[in-house]
Amino acid sequence: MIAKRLLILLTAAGLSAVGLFAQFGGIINKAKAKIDKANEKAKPVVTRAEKAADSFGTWSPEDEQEIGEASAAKLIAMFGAIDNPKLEQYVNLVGNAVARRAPRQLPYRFGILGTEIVGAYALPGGFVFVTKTALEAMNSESELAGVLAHEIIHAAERHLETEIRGKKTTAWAVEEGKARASREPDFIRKRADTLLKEMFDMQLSKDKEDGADTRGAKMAADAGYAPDGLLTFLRTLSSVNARPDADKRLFGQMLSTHPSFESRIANLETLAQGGPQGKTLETRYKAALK
Amino acid sequence: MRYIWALVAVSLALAQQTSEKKTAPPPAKKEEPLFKNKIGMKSSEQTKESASNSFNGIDPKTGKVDAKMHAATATAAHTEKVKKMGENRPTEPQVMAFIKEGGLKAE
Repeated sequence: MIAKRLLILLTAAGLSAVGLFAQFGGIINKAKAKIDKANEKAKPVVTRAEKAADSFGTWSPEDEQEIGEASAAKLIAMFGAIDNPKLEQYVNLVGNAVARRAPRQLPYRFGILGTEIVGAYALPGGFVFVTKTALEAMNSESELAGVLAHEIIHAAERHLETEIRGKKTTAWAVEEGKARASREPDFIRKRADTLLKEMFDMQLSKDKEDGADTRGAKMAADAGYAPDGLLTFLRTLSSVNARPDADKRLFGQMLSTHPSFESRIANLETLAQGGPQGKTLETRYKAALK
Repeated sequence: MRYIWALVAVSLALAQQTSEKKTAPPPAKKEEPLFKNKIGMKSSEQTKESASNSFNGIDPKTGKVDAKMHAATATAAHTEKVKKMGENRPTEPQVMAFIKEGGLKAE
């Protein structure tokens, strides 16, 4: 009798469990189906977004030139340009002698900014600027070639543009998409404003800076310059920066966006050791500055 | 008597000279310039006001470009200057002659 009751109880419990499982399983399956359906529905949206992001991957060569021109004009508005055709021509000759070996060919143009801060800047489209005080801090053509080569690498490899995109992918793509779609007349000017703001505020990745130093030094050496041009220049800056009478504004901007002088010097020292010999051309440099 | 007064006067003058020599500060050691070269040219944006502040637009505390500088707007003259940068690019023969003159590598 007891065994019979026990059997009935067990059977009832088993049947309930099966029912519950079936019910619960049904809920899971329904939920899964809903998720699958939602995923299917969302797929075209994601694909469209991916396509949009891809289409804003990099600027077209035309946009790059226009944004470069607008940025260069703004940079001149900020710091002024040194009006010395002879010196400008010389800087352009050095820059173009090196830029022949650039990883991407652009119409490289070089200008001199009339500010007391020490710096050099690369803008989209091959615009490169060096400051008046940076030229005063150099002692040879190979130093100038090393600095310009560093900037040429930045411009050729679109370092500034890619760094900004990497840091604000969504906002940047949406903003660009909207501006393009509405054919906003200020599109280029706004890009230039953002670009310069980021250039002075944002630190490029150490990889990009170290790469521009080493590949730039190699490019200058391949052009026939002494491979330690940039290294020598950085050593000068480092020693001046250590002087108590040196105005901190000289290097404040550069040090806020680049690795320390010591780190860059250490990175370049290994490259310069036992490397090829090249020209320093101090006399030609000093004659050009007069 | 006259000789005595003359001797006293000379002694006093010498004493004063010696004391001046002792108190006078040593001639200031000329500070070595930060950079040996000097480009003595004015910038296109340099006005009387900015000439007195060579670090115009740079924050004295951080050394960074300040907000006022970022607000600068390019005019037609600045755009023209940029266009000239393109027009004044050296030609290929000019670059080749420069490379040759400096003993650099053409290829």
